[in-house]
Amino acid sequence: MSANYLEYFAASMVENLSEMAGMEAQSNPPAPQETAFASKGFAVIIGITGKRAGRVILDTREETARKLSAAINGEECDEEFVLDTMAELTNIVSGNGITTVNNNNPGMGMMLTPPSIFIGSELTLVSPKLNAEVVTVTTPVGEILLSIGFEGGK
Amino acid sequence: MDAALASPFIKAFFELLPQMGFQQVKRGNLKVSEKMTACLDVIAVVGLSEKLRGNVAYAMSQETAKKFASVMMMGMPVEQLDEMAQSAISEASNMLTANAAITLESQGFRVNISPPTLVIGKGVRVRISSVQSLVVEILTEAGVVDVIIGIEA
Repeated sequence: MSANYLEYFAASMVENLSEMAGMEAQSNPPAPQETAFASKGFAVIIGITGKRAGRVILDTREETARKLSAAINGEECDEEFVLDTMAELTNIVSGNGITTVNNNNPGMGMMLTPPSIFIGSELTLVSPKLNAEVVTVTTPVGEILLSIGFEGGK
Repeated sequence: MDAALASPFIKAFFELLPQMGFQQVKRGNLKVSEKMTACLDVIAVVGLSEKLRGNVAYAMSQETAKKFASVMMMGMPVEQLDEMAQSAISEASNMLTANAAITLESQGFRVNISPPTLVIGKGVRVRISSVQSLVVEILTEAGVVDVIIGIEA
């Protein structure tokens, strides 16, 4: 089930990158993800509450985040603006994804929590007890990982 | 954010830690954190939705995380922050936030919480809220836990 969900999120990412940044992006097929994975250095986390609680993680390199923010805003951005831009991109993609999930599964009542952002050179992200799937989105400025995980079965 | 909203998260430590086997729970300093801030190496972050939206993060050093997990596992030695220790820290953050959510609900703020994500690294910088956040130190025999609370309401 989460693999299907992930496709909604990945499709929204590709669409938004095209609309907001004018970038041709491609999403690769979803793959199962280990409980712990190494971050590329820049991670945005959004929690999911409701019947199926979980979380969305956008993970990329700091450089990709910076270039993507510049493309979206049409100018070089300072760090605070990069954070705002990446948080908002993750918010929009997750919002689109979760709306599609809610529309296709009445009664799920899923809601998002605000984004938190982590930056560091040797980050490991761990989601104990979640079943997660990951999609790699390839863009002209680097790869973006989109991971979505839910509590309980697939 | 309203500082009063932080107290349920602090109260949760005083209620739950003794049940987990901790002997010592004290409140330390309180500070207001800038948006992006350096933080300790092991962080469990839990999201809040519904009436209050935000995040709460529990940050501690690797050493504290290992001792914290050890106390939770009835004193079993924890040499590495392995899968079991990570799971213990994650579960503690879940229980503490759920306890705070119950208090908040009794005050008229219905809150749902997301599952915790654990972030482990070196020289980690974090922004848990687009507004300022509060950082409250909790002192335990395992070491210091920084409770970072960012509520956008």
